[in-house]
Amino acid sequence: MSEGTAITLTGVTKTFQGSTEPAVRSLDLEVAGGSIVVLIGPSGCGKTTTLRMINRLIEPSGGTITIAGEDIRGRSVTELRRSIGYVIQQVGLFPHRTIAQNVATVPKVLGWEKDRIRTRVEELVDLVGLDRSLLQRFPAELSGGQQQRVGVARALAADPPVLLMDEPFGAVDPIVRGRLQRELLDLQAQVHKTIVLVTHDIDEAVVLGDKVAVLNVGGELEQYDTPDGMLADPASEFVASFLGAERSIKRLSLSRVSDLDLRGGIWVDVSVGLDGVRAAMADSPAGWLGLVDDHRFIGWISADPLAAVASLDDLDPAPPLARIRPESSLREALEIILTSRSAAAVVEDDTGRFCGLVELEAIRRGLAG
Amino acid sequence: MTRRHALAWGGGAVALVVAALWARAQIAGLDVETQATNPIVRWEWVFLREETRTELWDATYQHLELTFIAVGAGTVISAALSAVALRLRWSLTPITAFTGFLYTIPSVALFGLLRSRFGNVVAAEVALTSYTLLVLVRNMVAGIDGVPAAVTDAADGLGLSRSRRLLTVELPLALPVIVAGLRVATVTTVGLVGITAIIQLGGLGSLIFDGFGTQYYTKIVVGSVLSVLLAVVLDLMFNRLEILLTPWARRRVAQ
Amino acid sequence: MNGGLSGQPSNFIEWFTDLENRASAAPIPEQMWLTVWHSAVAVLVVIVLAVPLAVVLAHHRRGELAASWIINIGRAVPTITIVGLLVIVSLRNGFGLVPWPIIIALVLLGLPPAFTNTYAAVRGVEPSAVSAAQAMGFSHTQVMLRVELPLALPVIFAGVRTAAVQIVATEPLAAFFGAEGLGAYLRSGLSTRDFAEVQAGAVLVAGVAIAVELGLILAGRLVLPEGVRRSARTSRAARRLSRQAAPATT
Repeated sequence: MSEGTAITLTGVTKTFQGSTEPAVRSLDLEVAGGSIVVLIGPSGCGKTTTLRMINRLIEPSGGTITIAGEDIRGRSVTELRRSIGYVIQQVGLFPHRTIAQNVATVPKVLGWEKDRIRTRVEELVDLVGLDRSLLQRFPAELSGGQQQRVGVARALAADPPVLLMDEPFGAVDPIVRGRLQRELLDLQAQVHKTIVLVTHDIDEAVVLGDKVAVLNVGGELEQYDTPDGMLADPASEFVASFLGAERSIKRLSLSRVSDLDLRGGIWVDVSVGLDGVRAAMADSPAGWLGLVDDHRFIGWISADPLAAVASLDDLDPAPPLARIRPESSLREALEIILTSRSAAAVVEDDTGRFCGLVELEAIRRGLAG
Repeated sequence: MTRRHALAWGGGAVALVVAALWARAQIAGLDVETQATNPIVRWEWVFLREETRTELWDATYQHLELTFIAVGAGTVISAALSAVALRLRWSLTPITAFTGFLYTIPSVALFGLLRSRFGNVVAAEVALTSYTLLVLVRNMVAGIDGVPAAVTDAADGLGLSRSRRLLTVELPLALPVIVAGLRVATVTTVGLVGITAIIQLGGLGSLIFDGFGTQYYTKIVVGSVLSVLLAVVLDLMFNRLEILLTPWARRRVAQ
Repeated sequence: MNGGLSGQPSNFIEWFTDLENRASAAPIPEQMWLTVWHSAVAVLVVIVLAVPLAVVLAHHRRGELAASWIINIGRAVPTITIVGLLVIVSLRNGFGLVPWPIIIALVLLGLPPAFTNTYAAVRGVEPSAVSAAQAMGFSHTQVMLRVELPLALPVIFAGVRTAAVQIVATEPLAAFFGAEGLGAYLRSGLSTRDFAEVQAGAVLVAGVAIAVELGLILAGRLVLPEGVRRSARTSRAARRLSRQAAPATT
């Protein structure tokens, strides 16, 4: 998805007045249009400074930043910022304005007509998953998660090609944060903005980023890679320790069950008849077999009862303890397999249709591949 | 209306009626222009004498005029000083020290001192204005500073120009604090205007002064009561204004 | 009296030195003493009345409404009203004007800031120090005297200082109602249009007020060295208390 507006940072430097050391030292970074790039690093690494240089809330001491090939210094500052969406951790909603007025801020400044503004506001509120009844409320009446959504809506109001986000989900609790992250990804699938996001949470970076830039103190770029690439192959000790100890498990959350080849596995369709089932059982190494009938997983059967019965209908298969959807991550699959103490998880889509089985071995192979 | 409330009001009303009856009982058919044997309040002077109404109205008018000119001028000067203090942070301390120093000068002294050079209205207004500066500057600065940093940052990030940000975001949010400052300044000034009686002004204070000079207590009482009333009414009005200006703060529903 | 305008001192510096030409007979030290004396008595009465009451109320967490009412009323009732009403009362009852009606008026003036500041100061004392003391079995009086009062002292002092300056600044007003004191120079100067006298009187009055303010600030610094620093520092009392409350091993 490389449509959209690219951002290029070349040799960007920032030294604050009164400091001897630069906060950001000669950073080169290329943000592909329509992608999400996450800036992450320890305190003092300059990630927020870099973000705020893109919309000139901080002026670079040196180097160039271009958006869609145009130097950002070419335009007036306010004009630039009106074409960039900006979301911060504490949201900064105007307390004295209703939600509708907050969201309408930039369009109003740009001089849109009232009707156009109203339609757009309603559109955005739907987009971020808020009830329209909240439009006439004031920010103090909303919960943290709702306020953050309004912040995103406000940033997107004038449909800017670029969105800057500074720890946007840091102020909400983990459950809401997870939900907001998922919704951001859904949103991005619809709007295809070029997003630069700052966070200190590596799990968030891994979930959200198309590419992740790990910065060290002074704005040193340690690695700039896709999350999977970085987790598989960290460029330095620093990056490795930043990524944390359980890198492989983190990588599991990046792949989905549907990425695996689900065709194999110890199961058999009842249409092969009792003899066919017995033959399959003989081939099964574990002494267990899954029974499938017309694309529905019936249950598990073991060797002894199978030998004893006269027909398939007399069987009493054990219902599966581990079920999972194709779009779930491998990490969730691992979790459910371990928790249920089964050998495999049954993959079913949301209509209950059987898609295959996932075993631990398949997960390990998927990671290595 | 709780029972306690009702009792308090009822009790107050009864006390008032008793006091009025007692005062009425004191009235003897004496010459209105002199106090002679002395009930404290000669109600006839208040209600029956024709010139009284004009006198009272004139005094009140003068009082309000002096007050509002001073507060108005004070607001303008304070706005300028605050703008400077907000731009050049280091100037806040000297400005506060200066306005604080002005406030410390006893009103009696300042009125007298200025009167020795200027006409009495100018002297009064300059002094009264000076006394408002401390509160107004402090509240204006505090009001603007009190706007959360996240809000101003978001305003900048969205692309609002400096002046737009000031007018549409910072000032509305600072207004409650500023109005609170205006309230204190106004009520204080009302009190100080009374003292200008010593330089032949005084508004309602002149009634008190006259009453003292001619030993006519009714004037003292009426002047006092009206001054207090004026101050209380203005205080309540500004209070109401503060509330009206912050509709967003009143609605706070936790989800 | 002096011999016409030409005989008056032409500026107020001269006025100080030119003793014969002064309209009012009383010398400066005498007037100043009167003002200071009236004020000092008033301040003392204010302290005696306002501080203990405020401490007790604040300690027992009562009277919050009253505290805010008092400051609002104190601000709304114009100074001249207080003096004026006291004048009536005293004249009616043959007390004459000095010194008690004046002092009572000054006391009424000084009560609001002293009371409210003391109240707020005691309410603002660190709750942990208070609970530590209570847990150790201090009685109410002991808590107030040994914990709350010392910790609240800086702000109480500031409130008393505000009251004192307000009293000293208003005392000259009494001269316009017939008393003596530094205000007498202003009164006589204004009525005889002897502007040098007015200026001199103004300078004296302002000078005393500023001297009192600065003097009390200085006194505060000397007497309350710890209190001047901001609340980040715990007082000796609080530290001692928390040390006693915690086991010896830490």
